[in-house]
Amino acid sequence: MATVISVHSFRGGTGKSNTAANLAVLFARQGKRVALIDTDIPSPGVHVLFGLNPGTVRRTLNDYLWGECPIRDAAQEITGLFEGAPSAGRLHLVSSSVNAADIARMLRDGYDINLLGEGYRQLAVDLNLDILLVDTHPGINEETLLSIALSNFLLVVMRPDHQDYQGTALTVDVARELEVPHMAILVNKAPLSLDPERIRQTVETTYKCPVAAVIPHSDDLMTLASQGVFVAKYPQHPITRQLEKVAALLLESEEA
Amino acid sequence: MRIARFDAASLRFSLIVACIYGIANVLSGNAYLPGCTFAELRPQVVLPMFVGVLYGPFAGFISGALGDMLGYAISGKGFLFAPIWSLANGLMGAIPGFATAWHVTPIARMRSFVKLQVLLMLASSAPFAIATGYEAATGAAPPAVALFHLFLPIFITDLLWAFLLIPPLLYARRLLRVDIEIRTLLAIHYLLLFTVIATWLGGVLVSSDNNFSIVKLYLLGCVTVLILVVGLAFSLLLSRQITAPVMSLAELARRARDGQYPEAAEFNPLAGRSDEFGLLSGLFRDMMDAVRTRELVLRKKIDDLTIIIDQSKHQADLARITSADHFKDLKAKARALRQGLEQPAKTEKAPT
Repeated sequence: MATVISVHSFRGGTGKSNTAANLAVLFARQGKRVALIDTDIPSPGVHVLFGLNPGTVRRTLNDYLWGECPIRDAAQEITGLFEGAPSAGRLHLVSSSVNAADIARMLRDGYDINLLGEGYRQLAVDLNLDILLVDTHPGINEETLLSIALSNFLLVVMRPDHQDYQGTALTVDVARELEVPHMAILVNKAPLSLDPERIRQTVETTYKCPVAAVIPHSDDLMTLASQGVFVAKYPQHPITRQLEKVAALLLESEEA
Repeated sequence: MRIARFDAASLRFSLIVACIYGIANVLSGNAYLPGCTFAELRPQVVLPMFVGVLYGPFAGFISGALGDMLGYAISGKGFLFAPIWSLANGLMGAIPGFATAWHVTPIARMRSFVKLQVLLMLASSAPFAIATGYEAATGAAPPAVALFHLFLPIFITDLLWAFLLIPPLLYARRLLRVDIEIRTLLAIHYLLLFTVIATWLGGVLVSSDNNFSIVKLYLLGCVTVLILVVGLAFSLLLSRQITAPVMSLAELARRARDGQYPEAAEFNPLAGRSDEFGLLSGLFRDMMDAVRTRELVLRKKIDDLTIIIDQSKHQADLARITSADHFKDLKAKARALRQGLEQPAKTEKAPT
């Protein structure tokens, strides 16, 4: 039984991919068999967080979607590959191609959207997954809708910024329309000038959706940027503690 | 004009002081200054003055006048031995009684200390000028004798006693608040006082040894008083220079306390000084800046996060997405798709 957890945000730059990567590591640490799939085909980037350069990625999600390989070939086991990697569990990564020609081809020709859904299922089976973590493309298009529709849990990442409010409302309501069983909002990069508890209350009241965490803007997080997975580098950091709680919340739904 | 209330308690106090003053006058009767057998060395003159400061002009007058008469009575001369001098003693106690009306006490600032000195100077001079003037006018004493053997000895000694003893008495009654300004002033006040007293007493000794002219002695006394007054005036300026930056710093701090944070530039005249005040003001400026910044951050923290969603736009966007065919199709299949993922083992065999 695999639980699909999608990490989505309406706008880019919310820290969505970072959140997904951190959660993947935290799940694996708990002994889970996890695959993280980067469906942000136009602007992939999760592999960078794990220190993988494009040369080490043989097959990508693009290859699978073009029918050039089975999905399991696009998955790469990275359990022991990066600093602070989990010793228990299994962590697999399905990257999208960073090759400009591949991206252009995908944008030009598109792909069979149904293959993506089938890919999730096949991956869950092939790797005997507990959790399939989907890092989506920002905004709402056909493939994000599919990922949302397939999710057991949708984690919507937003920043407390007026540019995110409208899109977050749309994402939340679309997910409701699709009857996604579980949903939570993660407020990321919250300015230190705002009281986290107030942010939580306001967001929960506005979207009528639980808030998984309010992660403050952190210089540590910014410095690390895309050079590593935060929870692996800073296992004792307060933000790591917060993300651990988010992971626990997501796992609750898995077990429910 | 507000003057201290004259009631039973102040009457009782002034009567007690009158008794003490009278007895002290008898006891000090043999301690003369050279050349003046009327004006004894009488530190007790500060008593009626002090009663005046505490309880107002009436109380001061009673203790001065009654005490003087009591002294004559005790020494067997009768109550009304010298009524004009008893009147002068009463006035000496009455004049400092205007301290309350003139906002002298409690003494907390330089201005009130100066007012006190003026009152004491008046109390030591005016009443005795009247009495000696009366003596001269009635022919009881020639003018030169009245001036050099009566007025000046009394004025100079009374003034020095008052300057010397009134501040500690006020301090004992908590009517003198010793802040930096007053402390500076007191330091100079006493330094000057001791210097001029020592100089003048030196003159007194010389005069008793060498038949030194009494006129010259009291002229020297006048110079002494003049030096004292001029010195005190300078001390005011000096003291003000010390306390002025403190007061302007205090004003800036007061504004900060009331939430009106001064601009950093307002500290610059103070912080630019090369002395200790400059250092302190610079620290104040930096501290206030840090406090203001911290307050801004905290204020923002209690600001509510406001999330505004354009509902009509939201509904339109939502309708546009949900009305698309692929969405309807997806919605129809969503549950089945999820179940397919959750139970993959049933639909496909897991690899071994």
